[in-house]
Amino acid sequence: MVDIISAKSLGSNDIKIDGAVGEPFCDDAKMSMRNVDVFYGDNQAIHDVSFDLEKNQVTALIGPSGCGKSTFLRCLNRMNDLIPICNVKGSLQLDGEEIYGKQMDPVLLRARVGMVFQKPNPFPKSIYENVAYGPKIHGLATDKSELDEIVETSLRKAGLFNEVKDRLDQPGTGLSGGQQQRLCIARTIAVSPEVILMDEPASALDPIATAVIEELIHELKEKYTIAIVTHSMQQAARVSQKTAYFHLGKLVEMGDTKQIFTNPRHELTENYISGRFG
Amino acid sequence: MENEYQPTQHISQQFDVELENIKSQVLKMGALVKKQLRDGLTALLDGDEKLAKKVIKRDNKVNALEVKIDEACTSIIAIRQPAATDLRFVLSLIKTITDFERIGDEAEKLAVSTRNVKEKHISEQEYQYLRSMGDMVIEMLTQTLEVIETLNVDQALEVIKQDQAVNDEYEEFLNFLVSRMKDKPKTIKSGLSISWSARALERIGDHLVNINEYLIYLVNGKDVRHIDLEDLEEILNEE
Amino acid sequence: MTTANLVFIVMLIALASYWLGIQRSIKVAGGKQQVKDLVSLPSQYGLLTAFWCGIPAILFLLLWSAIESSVIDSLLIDKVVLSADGQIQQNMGLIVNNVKLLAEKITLSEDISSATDIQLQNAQFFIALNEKATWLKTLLTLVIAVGCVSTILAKIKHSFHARNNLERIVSGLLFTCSGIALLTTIGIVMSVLFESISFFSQVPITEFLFGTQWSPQIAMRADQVGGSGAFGAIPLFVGTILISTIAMCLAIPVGLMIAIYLSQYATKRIRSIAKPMLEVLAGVPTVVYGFFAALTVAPLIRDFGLLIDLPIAAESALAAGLVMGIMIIPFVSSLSEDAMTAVPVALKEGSLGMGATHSETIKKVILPAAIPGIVGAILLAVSRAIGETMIVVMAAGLAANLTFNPIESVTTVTVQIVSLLKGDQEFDSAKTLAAFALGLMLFITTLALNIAALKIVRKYREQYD
Repeated sequence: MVDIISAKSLGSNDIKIDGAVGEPFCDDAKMSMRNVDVFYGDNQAIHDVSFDLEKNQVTALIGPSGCGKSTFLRCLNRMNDLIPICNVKGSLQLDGEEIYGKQMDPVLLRARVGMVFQKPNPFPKSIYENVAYGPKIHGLATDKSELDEIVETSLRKAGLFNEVKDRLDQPGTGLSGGQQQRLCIARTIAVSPEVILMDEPASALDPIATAVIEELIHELKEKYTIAIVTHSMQQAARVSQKTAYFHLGKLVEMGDTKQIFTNPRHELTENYISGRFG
Repeated sequence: MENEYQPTQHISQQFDVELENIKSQVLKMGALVKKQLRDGLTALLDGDEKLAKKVIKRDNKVNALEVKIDEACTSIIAIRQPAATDLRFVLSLIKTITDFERIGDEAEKLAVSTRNVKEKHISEQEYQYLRSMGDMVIEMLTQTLEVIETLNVDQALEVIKQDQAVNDEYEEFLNFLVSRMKDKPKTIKSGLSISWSARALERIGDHLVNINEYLIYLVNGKDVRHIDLEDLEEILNEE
Repeated sequence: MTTANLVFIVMLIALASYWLGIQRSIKVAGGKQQVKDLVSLPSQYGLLTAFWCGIPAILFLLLWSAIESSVIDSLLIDKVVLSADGQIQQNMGLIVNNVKLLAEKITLSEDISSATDIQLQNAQFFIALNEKATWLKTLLTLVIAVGCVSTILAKIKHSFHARNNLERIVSGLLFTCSGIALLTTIGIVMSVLFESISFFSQVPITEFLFGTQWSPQIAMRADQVGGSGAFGAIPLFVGTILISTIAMCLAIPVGLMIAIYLSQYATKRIRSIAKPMLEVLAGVPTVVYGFFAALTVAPLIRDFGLLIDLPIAAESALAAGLVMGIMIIPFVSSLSEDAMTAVPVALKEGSLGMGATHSETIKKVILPAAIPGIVGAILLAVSRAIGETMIVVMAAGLAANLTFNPIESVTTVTVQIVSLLKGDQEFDSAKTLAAFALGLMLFITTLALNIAALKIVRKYREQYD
């Protein structure tokens, strides 16, 4: 999983990463991470990462494969709990609540911090059932009409309703890749999360479907705080307001996307976004 | 021949907004430059030093707009990676504003010459020549702004053709000045000064030709710089 | 030369021609360095030559062996007819057999004094024929082998695509092998089918299918008690269904839960211990389960029945069913676990990522996604249960009671097939033929189950892929 070779080849070893440059912190933070270390067994995947996710903004996490950006993202809603050897240290807070604190119920946390995955993964159920899944589990609807409403508004927010309104009872797996991914986003929205984490949500899609998803992300930021991991720098540039550049498990630079893409401050960031290797 | 450029919407509406934004900024800059040109010419011809000062001061605004639009274009290239028409759009407008800025500089030159010319007194013929050149160039600029708005290739071609008349007028004016200077060596000093202003108007015409060539490139994707007028028409009619 | 020896020799020739093919191709290429100019590798030329030598020769041998005896027989009959008068013709088969026996005696130099002259003459003729045939066979086989090799060797040139030819031969071989399996299946079905048809000519098919009385003993003499026998298969099928149902009632829930635990909850260490143990359970011979059922479970159940004042037969359907259920647990659990493990992690994460708990995820996402595999596992287990014999023989008895009561003694289709066929039997009595009819019914049932399983699996797979 951790492919360090490609990361190593990017920056010559004499370029030092000495704490993150740029502006990793902000006043209006939805989530704040301080001095986070993540270990896989004896292997340290994340080294002392600190930054904030700004409220109602899209923050892009970019970096070469194996730089730990996905690992980090999965810490934010404790998906890494599923991996027994994974160990998280440091402080991660959602609205001031400690995510890895004793009072935090990981199941409820994941309802507040939803996740969209790399490969569209609709459940083997109808489109309606896919979206209704979360609300049913969390008892968000008291009767059928309320559930219908949640399903419809979620599908609308995901820009999918008009395409599927006549076939809500058909399997979600019968949709095209881009539609499936929007269904997964609708499914995530349906439980009214506060933060949406996206792990390369468009990497399995064609350019048009990707553009649709990106436009959707742009609209979603009005209501949700979004963190997106992407391999495509262009995508990060297009959808995000803030960009964080990871390298070998460290946060190298974070700042306004425009600034990162026109005038990065760190040499490694410059090398990465301009496609210079070695 | 499809000379109307009809932009369809992007999936990313934000991108559309950004492109539209750049366009309206360019139009704003064009309007400002036009005002500079008109006021500079008026100041020169009427010997209105107060207006001239205003024009000189306002050139800063033109420069500031250029910087601002440049930045917006840079950010679009960095963030949106425009392709095809979008790429030509951004490139053409980046170049257009450079020429606008030059036109602004020329207008400023007119204003700067005001005091000089006023002292020497401008003759009736000189006034007529400058007036007619100025009107031609202002008309070209007005039409150019329309082309930016409508992206109509035919109209762009018209503007390019009009430059010939400006050049002819300039030639004639120069001849007139030279012959007068021969007759009355006393007028050499004022004649040279006036010729600089005429030169500025002629340069503005050239800049406007450049801009219209960029706009043709934007619509047709054909680079029509450094080509004779007849060849140009032929190329455009090929389609 | 015998056929076995011939085959061995052909193999030797093939081996030699492999070497010849390689040498020839190297020679054609003009030395070892130029081998890369050939369109195929030398070893491929060699293999091709070997195949061309071996396959036609062995095919010829097979064909020859198939028709040899009948050709010789007809020649012998012609000879016998010539040397005898018309009346013999009725016993032609017998005479030919006598001649063959005599010929055998001659070759083994036994006592032949009792034979007549004509018989001796015929026997000598038969021996001569056989010898000729053997010579001819040997000669032709070798000629074919050598001929094929030399043709192929002559064909090896720069542009000869041995690789493609080889590919065709290999695919032909593979096709033949799959054909063997197919033909065997058809053969089995046919043999069962024909015997069943002859059974149904003695016993009406409606009586067999709908009769409720099963007592297949047919009297040797007409005046014996219960002389006619009864062939109503209903009690047998009811017994089969009863025992299978009991077995499935135990195996499905337990097996599924084991599968869920092993695939979703168990740590690696527990899985590494539990899985092999389940596989051991699957490997226990059914006879051993039979002991267990008859000697341990059945008495236990009976004692328990006594405790609550319920008379339970010594050989009860319950005992057999329960033990059978234990036996098929591994089938259900192992295949179901595979199906559940194969559910993409992405689905599981998708559900967990929305704040579902582990058990909600299993119930609502993983089980529905694994349904095709689970259904397949269950149907396989059912056909296993229906076909199971030993446990029922030992624990459930032979009495063909028409009952749904699990504490009575019942019998199953397979058990009856065994009891009908054991001992010396005549193959034309209804009693023996009934076994084939039962076998046919069993075959149809399991076939239907398998088809149903396939259909269900396919239907769900389309939805979930």
